[in-house]
Amino acid sequence: MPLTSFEIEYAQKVLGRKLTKEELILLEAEWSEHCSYKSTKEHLKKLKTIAPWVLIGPGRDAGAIKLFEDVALVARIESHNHPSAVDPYNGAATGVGGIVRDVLSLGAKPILLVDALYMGSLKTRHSQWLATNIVKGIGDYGNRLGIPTATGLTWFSKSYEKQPLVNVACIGLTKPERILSGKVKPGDPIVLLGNTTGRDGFLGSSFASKPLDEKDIAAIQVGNPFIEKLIIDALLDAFDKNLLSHVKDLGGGGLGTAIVETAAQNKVGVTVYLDKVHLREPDLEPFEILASESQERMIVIPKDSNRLNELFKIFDKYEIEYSIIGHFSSEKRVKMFFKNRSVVDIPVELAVSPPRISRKVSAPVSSFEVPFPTDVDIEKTLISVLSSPRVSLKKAVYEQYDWGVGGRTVLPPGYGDSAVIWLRDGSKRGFAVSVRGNPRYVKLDPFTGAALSLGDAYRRVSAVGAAPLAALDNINSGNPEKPNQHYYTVKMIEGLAYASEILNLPIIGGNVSLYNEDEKGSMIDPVTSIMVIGKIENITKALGVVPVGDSPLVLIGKTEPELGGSEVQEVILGDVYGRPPVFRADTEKKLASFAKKVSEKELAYAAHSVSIGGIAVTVSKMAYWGNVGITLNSLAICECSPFEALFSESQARILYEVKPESLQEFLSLAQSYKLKASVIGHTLRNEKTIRVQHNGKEVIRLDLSKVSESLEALEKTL
Amino acid sequence: MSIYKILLIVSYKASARDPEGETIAHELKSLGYKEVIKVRVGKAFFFDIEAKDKEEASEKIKKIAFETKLHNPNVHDIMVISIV
Amino acid sequence: MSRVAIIKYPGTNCEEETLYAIRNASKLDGRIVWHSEFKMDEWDAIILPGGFSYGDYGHAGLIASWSKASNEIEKAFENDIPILGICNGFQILTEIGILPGNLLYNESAKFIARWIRVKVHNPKGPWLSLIEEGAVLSMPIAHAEGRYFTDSPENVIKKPWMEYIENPNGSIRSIAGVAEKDGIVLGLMPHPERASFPWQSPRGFEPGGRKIFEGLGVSLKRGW
Repeated sequence: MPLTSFEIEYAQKVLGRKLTKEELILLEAEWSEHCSYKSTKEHLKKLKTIAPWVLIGPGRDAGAIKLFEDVALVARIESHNHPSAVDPYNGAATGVGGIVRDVLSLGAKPILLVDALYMGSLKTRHSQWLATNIVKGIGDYGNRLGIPTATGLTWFSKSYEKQPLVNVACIGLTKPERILSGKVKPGDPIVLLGNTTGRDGFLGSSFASKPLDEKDIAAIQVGNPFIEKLIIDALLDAFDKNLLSHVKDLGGGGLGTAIVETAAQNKVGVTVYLDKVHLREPDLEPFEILASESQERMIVIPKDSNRLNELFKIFDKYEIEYSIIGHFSSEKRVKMFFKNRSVVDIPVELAVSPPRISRKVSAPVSSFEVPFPTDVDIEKTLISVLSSPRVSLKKAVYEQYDWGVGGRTVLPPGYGDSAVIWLRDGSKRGFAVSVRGNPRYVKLDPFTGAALSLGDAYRRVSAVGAAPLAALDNINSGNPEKPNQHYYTVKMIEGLAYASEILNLPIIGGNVSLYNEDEKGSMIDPVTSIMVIGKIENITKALGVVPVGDSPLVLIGKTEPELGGSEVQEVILGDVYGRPPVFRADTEKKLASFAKKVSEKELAYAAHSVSIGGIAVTVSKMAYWGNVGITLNSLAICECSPFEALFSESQARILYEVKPESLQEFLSLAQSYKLKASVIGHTLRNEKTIRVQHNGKEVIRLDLSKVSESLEALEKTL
Repeated sequence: MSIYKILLIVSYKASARDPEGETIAHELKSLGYKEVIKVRVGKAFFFDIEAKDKEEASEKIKKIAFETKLHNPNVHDIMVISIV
Repeated sequence: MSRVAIIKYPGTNCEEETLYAIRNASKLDGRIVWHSEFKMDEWDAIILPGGFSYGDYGHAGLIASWSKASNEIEKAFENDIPILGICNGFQILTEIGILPGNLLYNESAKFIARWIRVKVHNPKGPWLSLIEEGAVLSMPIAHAEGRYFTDSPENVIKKPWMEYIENPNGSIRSIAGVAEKDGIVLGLMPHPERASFPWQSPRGFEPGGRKIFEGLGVSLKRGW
């Protein structure tokens, strides 16, 4: 997005002269929403980011926690929404490429990818085309890197028909003392590594900071996962040999941004010779070189310039191109030259300090309640809910992802509430990851909606037996210049701040994607994706979702008739009304400690957090996964109507299949945590039906084959 | 109406990168095929299609390719070749 | 101690877990060897692990087969050194021509990653030495180009081979793995290194790859 005339005047006043073309381009990238967070910075300060185990909080290219005394876990999440709307295949693929390079930038080995996709109805050719290509793009790129995509979230709604949201996250591992310091000093040479620089992807970051326009299609980048894989392998070799002090992705804003941010963080200046950059087209202009967003490029700063040859030997082995393009300096200015001509000469401070702007917010009119029709057929409703693309199985998506490469995947997609990943280091230690987001709850109440997603991911990580340690957020929202849209951004951040504080879960990184509007300037449904990471001492005790049968089903947590923003509401009424479920922080916390104990003591066969679609969906999926029948007593779930009992989306609930011999111990454990525990039914090995009783009357009797057919609905459309 | 054979080739626009073509060209050169200057990779579709004449057959293919997104006009070029 | 070479090409990505299985399931010494530095006479067994050598560009295994490592692999083949090709490694071995047939794009035209089961027929040789006739092994598959094709499947199934219980990709005769030289050379699409420890397999599946690695460990010590 071009600088405003106010911003240009501000810069020229500071400099006391006119900006050069190159300076203008540099500031345009630096001061874009994507790089400067100018509309959200003041709000993001409210997030809880500190805990004793946090090694690196927000601010660097990725965050890091001490997972174990000798293991650091590095993570980052980012959106690639705008590029994916124009070229879904390459847009999504290059999103993966960028996030992996961010994790590399702390010196970690990337070992897990996670995606959160919000796509269209799948009822139009366009939304099918977008969805198919986004999934293929993520798969083709991630699979080639040898990094498993082992968990994710896939949402479908007509709000995303033409503007999908593509959020991708990456997790890496290293030793705490091996995290790159990021420190550079005057005199350090700057090495540009990777792909040649070309005209492709020119000014993509400002492209991500404004509403989509057909003209922007010049900014298309084709991903090259093969080069990315070579960069990963080469950098891991260089990390092993302790050759590097700083590595940074050339992402939004290209070379200019990466260099300026490094200089600013280190309070040094920088001199760059743009004609030293290895180019794809020889006739590139200097402004194009500094702002090009050609993919698969990084800057690397050697720890010791006397060992440059060792570094270059590694790059030569992998046949990756590189060039020395300049050095850091003590004069705190950004200086760029092209063929001996000065093209940029501005203070570093100016480049990273856009003039303050203040954005206004205005609350929308509050939503109203709409009752359900009185004659709803509960069995037919269940079938409709199970075949809704949001609920039905995502095999068509995750089977295209290599979720198992690395040999670390203990609970692959479809087997657990979170991905459970083994460190594969001779021990049985590991970690769990879940990503959640719910545009419906956000639509009704952005504060609660964001908090609920954090609670949901926190609970899913707990359900497998992990101890939640950190979260990352990706806010996808509307135009910050429009107060009624910016309201959602600010409220989601506030909801996150509240929830992270009360759950004692530091947020170690995040991303804000704004200007997600349709061609008419209306906001598409905003949402915050939350990824939660937890640690597991013994992955062999991780609890999956597959039941074994002939065992009691125990629901932990309280069910209230909460149907606002629910799946059943959207399926029956076509939209959402009222208030989302209450965020029950206290129960969530107790539940998390309880769940960890259950897995440690091995009291249960299976655990499944109750999510969209309520208990009805929870039991149907468990029946499907275990190929078992299930019988339920609706009144044991809730003293309410069977409709409410089955479809309520009350939070802070986990359904367990408990080992019959451990039932007493399980129930007393729940009691000791002051958690409500109700035996609501049984799993059955020999009877392949789902039966629900209410007051002695059978309200549902559904063959497992019918359940399977409904749950597999998505495979036919995607 | 008769049946025409049409070859549709979808490849990246000249302004876009083609990682597959670039890699193949690079490896061929290092094998010793120095005469190889450049490789571009595309996807080929062989159609048998009913039309009045060759020209109409080609036009129909272009239309189908566009409407069904066999190619993404934002990033791809197409070649439509009538074959005998 | 016997030494196993795990050959890495640009784009290979399963070398580390394969090495882990060699060390912890086969109890053998192993090394990851860069393709251009590979010399066959330094090794007691050779594994071509999975991944996307050269990005699968052209088609899977094609460009890797141009590597000078191919000459060494052919020499190893002539010298009866055990060779295992897993997934992309299998694709490369068929491209080099020491295993019969080809691996084409999946029938679904999509990448498929899922747990599957294979039945082992005519088990012979170092890799299958601990496996009984008709044994069923579970392992994950993860490939886009895994549809096995040959003009003469009848020749393949006379030798040691693996059969998908449920054909995931349209392979002819449900062929998941083939062998030459009485099983000294084996290629398979499923990933045994991802099924070598009990916690790698979710409920309903067993770590079916472990016996392949254990078999190699035993065979290199006692013969096969």
